[in-house]
Amino acid sequence: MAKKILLVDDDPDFVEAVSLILKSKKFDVVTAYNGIEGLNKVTSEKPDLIVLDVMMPEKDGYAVCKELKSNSQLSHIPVLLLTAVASHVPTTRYTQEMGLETEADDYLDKPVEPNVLVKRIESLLSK
Amino acid sequence: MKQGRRKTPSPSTTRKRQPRTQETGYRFDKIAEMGEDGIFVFDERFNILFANQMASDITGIPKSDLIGKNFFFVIGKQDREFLEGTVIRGEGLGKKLCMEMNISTPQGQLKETDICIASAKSVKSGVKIYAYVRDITVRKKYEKDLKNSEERLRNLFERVRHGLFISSKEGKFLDCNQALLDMLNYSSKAECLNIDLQRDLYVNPEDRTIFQERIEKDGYVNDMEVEFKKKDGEKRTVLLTGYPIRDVKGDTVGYQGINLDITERKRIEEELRETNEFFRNLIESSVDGIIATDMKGNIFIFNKGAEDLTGYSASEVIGKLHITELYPKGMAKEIMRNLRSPDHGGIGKLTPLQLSVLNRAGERVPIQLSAALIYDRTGTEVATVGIFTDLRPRLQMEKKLEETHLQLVSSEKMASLGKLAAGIAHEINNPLGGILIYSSLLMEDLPKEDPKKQDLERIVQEAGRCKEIVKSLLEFARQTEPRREPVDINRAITDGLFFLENQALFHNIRITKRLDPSLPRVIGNGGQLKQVFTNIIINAAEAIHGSGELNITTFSSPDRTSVFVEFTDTGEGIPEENLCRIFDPFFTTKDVGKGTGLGLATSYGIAESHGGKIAVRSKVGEGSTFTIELPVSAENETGLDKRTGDPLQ
Repeated sequence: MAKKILLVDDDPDFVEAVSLILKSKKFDVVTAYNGIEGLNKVTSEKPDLIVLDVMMPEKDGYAVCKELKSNSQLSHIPVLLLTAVASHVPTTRYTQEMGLETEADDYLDKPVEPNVLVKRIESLLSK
Repeated sequence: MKQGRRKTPSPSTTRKRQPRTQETGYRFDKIAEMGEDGIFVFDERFNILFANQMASDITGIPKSDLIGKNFFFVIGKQDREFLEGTVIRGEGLGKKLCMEMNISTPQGQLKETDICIASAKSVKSGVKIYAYVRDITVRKKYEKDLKNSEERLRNLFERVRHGLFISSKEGKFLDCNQALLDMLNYSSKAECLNIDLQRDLYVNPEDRTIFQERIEKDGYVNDMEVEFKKKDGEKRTVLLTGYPIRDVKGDTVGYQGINLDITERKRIEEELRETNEFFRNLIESSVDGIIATDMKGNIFIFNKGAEDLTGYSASEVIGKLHITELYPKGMAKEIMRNLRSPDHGGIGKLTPLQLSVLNRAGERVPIQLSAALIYDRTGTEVATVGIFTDLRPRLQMEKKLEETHLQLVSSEKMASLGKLAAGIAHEINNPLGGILIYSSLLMEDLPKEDPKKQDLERIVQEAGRCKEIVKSLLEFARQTEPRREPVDINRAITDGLFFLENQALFHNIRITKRLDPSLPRVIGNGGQLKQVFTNIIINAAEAIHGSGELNITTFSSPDRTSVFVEFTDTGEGIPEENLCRIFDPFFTTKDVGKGTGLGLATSYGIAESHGGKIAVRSKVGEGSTFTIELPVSAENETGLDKRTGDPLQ
């Protein structure tokens, strides 16, 4: 059975592009365009994994992640954060302060390279 | 003898001689001529019976004319009563009576004489009167002169305007003049003569003892400085000069001398001294250098400010160094010319002008000079004085201001550039992701041998470049992040190297670390600082092109307020024209696509935000040295107060 992935990003073009990649890898994809919608979709769709953009209007990725992880019924769902930050600069505020605090299961810097994204998703799902 | 002779005409002797006048006449004549007194003999009616030669000399009348003449013819009518009384009433009989009497000679001379008369009575020749006349004109004159001179001395004594005194050994004034009374404020001499000198006059009573001892020892005291009390107790400073008065045995019985009141002089001297002191302090305490020279150029005033400015000490300069040695060649002459010209602030003045002086080490020190000629009362030039203001602090300040201004401009620029970069990065990320995703999707759809595949790979590659640029932009934008904590610089370097050393770029590079183990920690952002070091290390490795050396050294300033990190490579070096641009954003010498030109700009911004700076020395073909200086204290961001204590010590 295909795994269901919830993709949350405020950029429709980006959502469309990533959806295409994930669908080509035989994932079920549901989408949301802001944090609040994303949280609603988590409850309604019960995805196996969430790909969550950090910078969004209304509720940003950190806040969404925090709510998810503080909810015992949802905290088991792995979250892959998409940041605009290079992961190899570990002392920056985003990664050091926010990324770690959010308890995201993994994070990936934008722009997203399709292969890397798929690999990370597969690796999170296999845990 | 004279005395005896005057007694000669005693009644007994004359009586003996009288009866034998005729027989003894010759002998009497002889005797009468031997004395210095004029002798007359006349009878009761004053007819002259005898006159000797001296009597003739005194009266100015020949002896022959005198005989038979009335005695009053000789002596004039003065005191006729006295003579008549003596002679006629016989009051003087048997007695010698003397009086002074003036005699006018026929020649018009007035002679003062002492006349003594004695009368004798005999039975045979009746009453005879003997008159002895002595010329005392000279003696009288002498007496008068003496009297006059004594008066003069007394006048002098009284009128001298310094305090004269005669004092007793026991300690009282015996005499003093008006000036002394005035000096001591006594209203009368009697009052002054009554005081006890040791107790009432001397402020320090032992001074009188010293005065007495010194007079006994030396025979005088000259200008001994003592303090006297006035009647009202006010003190006067006096120069006391004194001599002893001795009795016939040579023992001191008193003193005489003079008191010179120098209270006023002392006060003026003290005022003068204070004024001089004040001016000396004024000159000495000036921050500016003050140098005065005579007209030959010999320095005679060289204050502390001048010492600080030139590095010479006053003792090395005064009387030893010529003023021209403080100026570059020819400058001293030009200054003198300008001083005497009316065009630079007026004759004798020099309005402030900027020039250099030579310090002890021969270096030029920029100064501002204002100078003036000093004239004496007659208008002759006697000296020049120059005030030297050290311009170094001002120039430094101006430079710093300029730098600060530039930095302000640049950090403002940086900040807005940072915001823009962050915005661009975020906006571009998603489309870039799109490009990457669609191109990879396309690639998967194409058969392996499709020639379009190469083009697609190129698209992915170019998108990757964009991704790198965006990443750099974001790093550049983040350089002012505020988080600060104590950072171990040595560790930041070691950590940075750990990730880099294994990369292919570093395979043939020998890295030597000389890290000071006692290096103070720097307050800052460790990640940013590591990024700075990493950037510089990568740049060094790239400049080396293959094999070479990279030396990394850390050390602190002697006062441990700054930390230095030095990276020296043996790379290709940086051409001089690029040295000033290497920290500009987007400046790169790397091939297109190899570098964003943001690495050093970011590093510089980070160092600056830590209150530090990056300096670079480079020589093409030999290599480059990057030195990063970081203040130990976080408060030192302006770099103005380097004395702030190290919070970590």
